[in-house]
Amino acid sequence: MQTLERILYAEDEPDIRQVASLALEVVGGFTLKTCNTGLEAVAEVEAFAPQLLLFDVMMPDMDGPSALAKIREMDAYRKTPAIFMTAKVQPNEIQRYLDMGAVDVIAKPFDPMTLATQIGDIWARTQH
Amino acid sequence: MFSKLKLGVRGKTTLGLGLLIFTSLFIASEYSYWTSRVHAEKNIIALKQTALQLLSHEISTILNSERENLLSLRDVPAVSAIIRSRNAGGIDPVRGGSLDQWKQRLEATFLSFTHNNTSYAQLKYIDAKGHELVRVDSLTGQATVVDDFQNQEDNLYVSETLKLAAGKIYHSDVNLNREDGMIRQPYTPIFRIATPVYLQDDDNVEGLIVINIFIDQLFKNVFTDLSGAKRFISDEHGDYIKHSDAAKIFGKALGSGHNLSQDDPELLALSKKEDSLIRYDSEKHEVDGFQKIFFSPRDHSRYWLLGLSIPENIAFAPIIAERGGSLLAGIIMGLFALMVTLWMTTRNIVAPVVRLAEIAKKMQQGDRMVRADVSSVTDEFRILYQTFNDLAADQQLIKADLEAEIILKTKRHSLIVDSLIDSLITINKIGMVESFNPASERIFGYSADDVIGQNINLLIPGSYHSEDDNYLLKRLFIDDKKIIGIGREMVGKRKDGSTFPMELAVSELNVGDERHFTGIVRDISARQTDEQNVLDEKARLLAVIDNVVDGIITINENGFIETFNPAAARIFGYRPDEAIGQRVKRLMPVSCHDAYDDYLLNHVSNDEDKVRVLGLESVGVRKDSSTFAMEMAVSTLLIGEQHHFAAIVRDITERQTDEQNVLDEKARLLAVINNVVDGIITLNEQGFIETFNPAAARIFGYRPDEVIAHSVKVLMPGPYHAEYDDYLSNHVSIDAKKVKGVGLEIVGLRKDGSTFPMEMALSTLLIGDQSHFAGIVRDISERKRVEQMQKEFISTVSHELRTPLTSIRGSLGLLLGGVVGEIPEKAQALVSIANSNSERLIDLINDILDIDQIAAGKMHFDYTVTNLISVIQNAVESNQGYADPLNVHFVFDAGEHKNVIVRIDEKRIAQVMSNLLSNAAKYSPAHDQVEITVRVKNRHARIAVHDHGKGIPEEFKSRIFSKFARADSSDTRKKGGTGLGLSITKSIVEQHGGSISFESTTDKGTTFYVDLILFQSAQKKEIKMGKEIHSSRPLLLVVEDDQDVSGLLGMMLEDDGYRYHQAFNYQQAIEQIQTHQYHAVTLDLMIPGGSGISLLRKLRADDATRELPVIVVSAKAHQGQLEMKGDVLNVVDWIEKPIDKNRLLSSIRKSMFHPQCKRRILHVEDDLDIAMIVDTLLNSEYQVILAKTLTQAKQLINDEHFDLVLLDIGLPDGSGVDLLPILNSPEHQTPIIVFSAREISQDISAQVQGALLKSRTGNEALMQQIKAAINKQVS
Repeated sequence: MQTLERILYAEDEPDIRQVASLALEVVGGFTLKTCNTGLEAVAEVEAFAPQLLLFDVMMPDMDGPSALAKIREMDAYRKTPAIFMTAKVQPNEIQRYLDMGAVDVIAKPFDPMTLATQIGDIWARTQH
Repeated sequence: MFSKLKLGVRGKTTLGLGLLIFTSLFIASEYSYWTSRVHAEKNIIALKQTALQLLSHEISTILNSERENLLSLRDVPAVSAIIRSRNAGGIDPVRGGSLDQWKQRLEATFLSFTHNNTSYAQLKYIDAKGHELVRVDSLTGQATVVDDFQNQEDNLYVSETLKLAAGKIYHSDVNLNREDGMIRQPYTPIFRIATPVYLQDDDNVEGLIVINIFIDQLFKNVFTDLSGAKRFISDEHGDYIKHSDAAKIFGKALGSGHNLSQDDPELLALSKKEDSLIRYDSEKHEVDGFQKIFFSPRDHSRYWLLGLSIPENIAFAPIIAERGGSLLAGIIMGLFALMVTLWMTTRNIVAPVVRLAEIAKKMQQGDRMVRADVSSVTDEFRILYQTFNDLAADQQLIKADLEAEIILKTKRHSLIVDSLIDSLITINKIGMVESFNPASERIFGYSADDVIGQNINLLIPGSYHSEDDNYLLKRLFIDDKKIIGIGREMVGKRKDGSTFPMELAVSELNVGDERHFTGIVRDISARQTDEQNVLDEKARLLAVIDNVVDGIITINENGFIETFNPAAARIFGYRPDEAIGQRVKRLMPVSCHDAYDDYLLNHVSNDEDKVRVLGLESVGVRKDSSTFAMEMAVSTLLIGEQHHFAAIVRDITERQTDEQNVLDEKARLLAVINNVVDGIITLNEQGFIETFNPAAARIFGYRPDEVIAHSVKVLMPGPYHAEYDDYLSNHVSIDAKKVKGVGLEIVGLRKDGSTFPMEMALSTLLIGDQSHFAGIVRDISERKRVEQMQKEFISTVSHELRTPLTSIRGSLGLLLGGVVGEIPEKAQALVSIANSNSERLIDLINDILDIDQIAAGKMHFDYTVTNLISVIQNAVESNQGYADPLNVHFVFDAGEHKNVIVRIDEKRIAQVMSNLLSNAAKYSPAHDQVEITVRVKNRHARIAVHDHGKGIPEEFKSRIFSKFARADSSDTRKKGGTGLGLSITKSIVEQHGGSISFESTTDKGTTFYVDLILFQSAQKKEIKMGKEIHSSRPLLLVVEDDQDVSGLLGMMLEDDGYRYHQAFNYQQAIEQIQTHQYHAVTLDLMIPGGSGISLLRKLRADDATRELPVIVVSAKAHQGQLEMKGDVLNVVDWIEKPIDKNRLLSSIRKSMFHPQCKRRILHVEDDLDIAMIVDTLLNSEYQVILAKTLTQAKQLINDEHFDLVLLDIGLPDGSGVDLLPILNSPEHQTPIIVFSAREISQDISAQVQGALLKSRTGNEALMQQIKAAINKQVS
């Protein structure tokens, strides 16, 4: 099983981005590439070569699901696990995100001290 | 002659009617008996066959279990141990133990089997040489170990069994039990099954295990409850094995020769061809038949015949009883009808005829006074009698008339002449008076004697003599013109010498050769006075005409004024003499001339002489050329041949001013209507638009002239038409004057085809006797949008709140977690407070969102059928983390229940549990435990959560489920929580159709109960967990009232791999269909609570079940089909009872491919965009299931049926090509369309039905390919 190191993270809200970055980099020890929008994430993906995608759903100029769809068109990222992080977590909404190709959904507000573990668990699940 | 007729009519009528009534009643009752008997017989026969099939199935089932027992006996360790220990000379080298010990073990096993199975006569273990090694007998009913071993080497079953391979089973014929070769008494028929014994890894047969089965036990159910029927079981040759008649058993073995061929050779012959048969043998007067029982599963040439014969009178006893009843009822009814008819006929027909005949006879004898009594008869006889009376009266009258006429004629002349008012005088050709009637005496004052023989000149003053001479002379010369002249006016002279005006009419008559003249003279003094009166009247009329206020003008046919009264002069300003002789057109403005011409022409050409036109409003022109409004009434009169017109004219200038006011008012109203923002539309009774104001035009985008006279339906989309029709008819039918206020919210349709929500208020008004509707229409799109926004407000706000909260909670969490370094202790305390309160805020937002969704009825539930125990177990485990810091322990006890099946949304029930558990933990003392139990009672599962806290205060109990309820506000800080949890919990439980309640005792603790309804299958048996529930095996509903038939159908269906539910009556069927998704339904036509046909109609009338495949299975199937001819009820097949299993199953398979069912397409695709597009494109017509990986696709293909696979080649975990062999295997044969980004090779394209390139294929082309491939598959 591969160890998870590189996460591409897209979030338009700067405060949340900062908190999550701390949670993942300092608490989790991951290497993080943060992007402000979905479009930016699509642009960064080849250069950064992430192992996992962590996207906010609602972002200006390109939302999370669209960004994911774009990235899936690249052969190398067809199977890269993707997680949506969103405040809209009614059961039917979660099902919709899963249908869009996410492996899991993390609800906002998240617990910063367990966020890294949560993502690590999801990653482990995708590795067999 | 008449007395003979009387007897004849009565007699014939009585006899004829009697015969007719009896014959028709007899035929009718016999016919209805025979038709119902045919159906009843079919039913009975079907039931008998079902019974046979069930018996046969039962026996087969027992035999199956016996075979399993045999094989398991073979496999007991003692058998192999005996072999090993014998071979080793006493001690088993593998497991130890001596031969005797192992034999005892096997005896014990045999004994326990025999104890438990009363049908076992013997169990034996025999070695390869035929020596019995272990034997247990139960021939006497008591299982005993037998040491007296026999050598069975010569027995056929031993040698045959020893030849068999391992696991095969020998089935013997049925024989009478023999001991040491002798037939045992009492006769005990035995059936043997035996299997060879092999040691593992060895080909040498070591012996055999035999079970002897009591045939009597095996067949015991066949011979119970016979109620008059005969049943037997024979072997394939017809030799009886068992028979209800005990004497016939074992004819062959005992030499008595009893065989089926003696009793019913035909049935025996039929058994060679059919597996199952039941029939009505009309020659033998019995219902007989058979069902084969194949006792050896692999060898169908060997079987037992389970036979049946029931005497007709017993089988059809209910029907025969019915016949007697119907015949008796028929006779009683016939007698009654005959008596009534005879009484009626005698009273109403025969007696009146006879009476009339008697009267007619009297009349014939000359009695014209005779009359029939009309009041004594009714109906047509009344008319006949009346006519007869009229005829008699006429006869009487005619006779009297003729007699009177003769007298009359003789008196006529003198009477006429004497009574004439006019004087009648006859003179001869020389003017001499010949007769002088009384009127003449009165008029002239002469008596007849004075005048007769005198010259007529006597009666005429002298100055007229010559004139009259000329006249007379003239009359004499014009002898051929016999004119009765209308008289001339002359002057007559009375006897006293006075004169008077008279009118004289003269005519001549020839009597023989002589001419005579008759003069008729009338005194016209009075008439002349009348003429004066006319003149006076005219003067009065003229005075009126001259003085009325209305102008009166008469005009001749050519339009010239003839008279012109002073009022007309005043109105028009002309003097009469100026106007008379002028054209009337001068009095009208030029614009009216044409209308006048038309009018005139119209009236002249019409021959009606008094056409009146009243109140025609027109314009007049005065002499000074000024105009004025006038009202004109015109009448036409014909004087001589000429048309004239009289016109009465009134100046109505003033009145018009009033009317102007009304018009102004109307204009103001119009201005309002034209300027209001609401659309105003008026409709007539038929719903056609009469007016359409500018606002309506703006709202709908039509110009008024485009919609006026069209149905108002053009303004509504199709689906609303029916609703509108209801609304309209409702309004027309109720009191039309009633005004309805705010109307309904419906959808409007604009000219451009777009729709919008609108509110329509309709009021009804009655103009004349016609209803009209005024509709006020308002576009409420904007209002709807605001409402929608308000509805989503909470949801939006809660999301908006979460975003900043994410930052706050995250930051606080990181601070507390020491991510940015240790913080001072005091700061730590403050950050903790901030953190825990941000957590509470999050809970609050979540709960508010839940409450909002519950209130809006929008909370989403994903129900699945699942095991409640595991859901509760998980909830208990995942909430333990919450209880740990409080030092509270959860203890879960499900009692004896392992599977409690419920239909729930697992996540929501987990939410309920989480709420109850956290509450219980919160209110428990430290180091305590909370007990959770699940119990099942009365179709409910009850979850109980019990704590030992201080209990719920009395005053709070009633509010506990309210929003923001909390026992004590000081609790808030200590216990946390939002105060919404129990309210949400209650709503969730109630949404599941369950209930929540609690019991609480102060200082003892509180128990919350959640009751959920158990999910039960229709058969009311607990469904097996796991695969069974999620199985893709199609689910069917069997609608059938007979439990046995229903069970048989179920058996057939289960054998073929279907699952099924049962419904035993109409109501049950409806309920089941509404609550389950069935693939198909089998339907009996005769079910309690309503007919199968009406059920079928109901299903077809409902959108949800219109396409549900239905297979009719009924004894009346054929008749039902005929009745439904031409009625499209979409029945897959009509199957008669007894049920043909193969036809039933083939119909069901056919129904699975029913064209109306949505076909299933498996879309194997890892690109989700494309998957989404394809799904959008296809999901209206097909059910599209997505597989994102090769593995997923394989799994789905294995588990479920698909009509087509749409395949991408490049998949994350392999190539789609790998699926081709699976899909093309005979097991699946699923059509494939490759939908890929790359071109595919020749060799792949040979294995698929179509290949499309993603970048080059339009939606249309994709759809067409899919349709073509699927249709090909189905056909």
